[in-house]
Amino acid sequence: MRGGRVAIGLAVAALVLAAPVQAQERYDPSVTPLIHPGDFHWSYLKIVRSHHFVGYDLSNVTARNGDIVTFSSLARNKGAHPTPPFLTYLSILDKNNTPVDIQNWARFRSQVASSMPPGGYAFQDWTLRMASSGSYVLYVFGLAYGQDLNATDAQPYASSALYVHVSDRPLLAAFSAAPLLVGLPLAIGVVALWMPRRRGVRA
Amino acid sequence: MPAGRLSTGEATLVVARRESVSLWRGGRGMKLLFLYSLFLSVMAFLAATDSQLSLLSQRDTTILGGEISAAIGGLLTLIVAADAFSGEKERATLEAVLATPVPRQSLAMGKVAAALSMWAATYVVTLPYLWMLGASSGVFLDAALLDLVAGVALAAGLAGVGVTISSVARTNRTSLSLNLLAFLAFAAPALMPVTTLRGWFGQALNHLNPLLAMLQLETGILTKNEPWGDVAVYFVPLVAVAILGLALARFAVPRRTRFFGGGFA
Repeated sequence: MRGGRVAIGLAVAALVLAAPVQAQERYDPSVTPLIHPGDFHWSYLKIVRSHHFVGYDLSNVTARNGDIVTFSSLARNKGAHPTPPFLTYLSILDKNNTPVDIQNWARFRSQVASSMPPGGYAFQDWTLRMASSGSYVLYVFGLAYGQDLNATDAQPYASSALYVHVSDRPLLAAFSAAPLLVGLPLAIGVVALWMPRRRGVRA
Repeated sequence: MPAGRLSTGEATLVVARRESVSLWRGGRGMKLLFLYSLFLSVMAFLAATDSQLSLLSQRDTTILGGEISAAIGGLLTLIVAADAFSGEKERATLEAVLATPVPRQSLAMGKVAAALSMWAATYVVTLPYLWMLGASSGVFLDAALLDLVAGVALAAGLAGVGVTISSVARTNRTSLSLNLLAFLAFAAPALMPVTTLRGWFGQALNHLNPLLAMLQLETGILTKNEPWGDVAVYFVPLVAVAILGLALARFAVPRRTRFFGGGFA
């Protein structure tokens, strides 16, 4: 009896202790790879929400054609000085490293974020509709906004890569849908033809 | 009430039953329903197999199906309602109908109810298609319920307007033309680009037009997963058009169907 209580107590303690660890894994950018050395770091954090996606991890998304995937990017100022306001924009490359026109993928392709204080960070949400099947690499770029492009802090920073694998959406199996798509109109058509004749016979 | 004489409610039911039997046993309703199911089959096949339309998620496809079915169901209801009185005039049966001891408002509301049976049939036919498109996305029940609530309000309004116009028109052709024009007036804002509806007038239309309200409901509840209470304001134009249509049929039609011994006005 006592042993059982101890076990429950230990389990609760483990859960309580594990909770901050999980939260840390979710929000601590140090677990994501850094692309550029320096004070201004970009990294993907996680996928916040998506419709119909099959699976994901920190750097991979598997979705189907037409699915909507929403994810967040995270920018963090690790320097001692505030960053300038910055512009972020999406870029997608296909498996041949050819840039993809994302007009069909995203309604909003860029966002503006305000200045970040030292140690500050900014989450930004992005929504994509998977518009074509294939394998893609997605980056978010950040660029100082409204600054002199020749200045050092105008250097664009790239996030870590998000690998997106889009499979074809299973189309309607013509055979399985045939009973409805053909059968229902046919049945109604037969009744439509039969009813007035039946009425005529009676008359 | 004298013995043997029907109350207004009973008379309405009698007229509704007689008109419905005429609509469905006469074959006209079934023919319209056949065309409707054919249209839905083609649309569902395209939505599920066309490479461009297949970009839509199943949820979006189901919503699209619901929107189209509610609009086409309303149109078919209007077409049936357009025949209510003008058809009787053309078939030279209106005098006989007016000579029956049935209150005029019962006549009008009975014909509205018969027209609504057309909408009910389209709704029943729509359900298997919605199930096919939306069962796996978990949106079927919400889509079916929303189509039922919004569709019946829209159809009631359109049926009332249709019967009223039919009582005014002297021929079926005029009645049908005017009704289709009225439907286009309803549908026009929904067909316009979103950017044209950003001004104050566009916003007013957006909040008053029942078809647009239905689209907003579909978007809010089915796409954005908003609670029904949060989008309840969009039910106002739908309820308003239903009340307006039914009131028109109830109060305006009896004035237009007076019988003057050998003729009617």
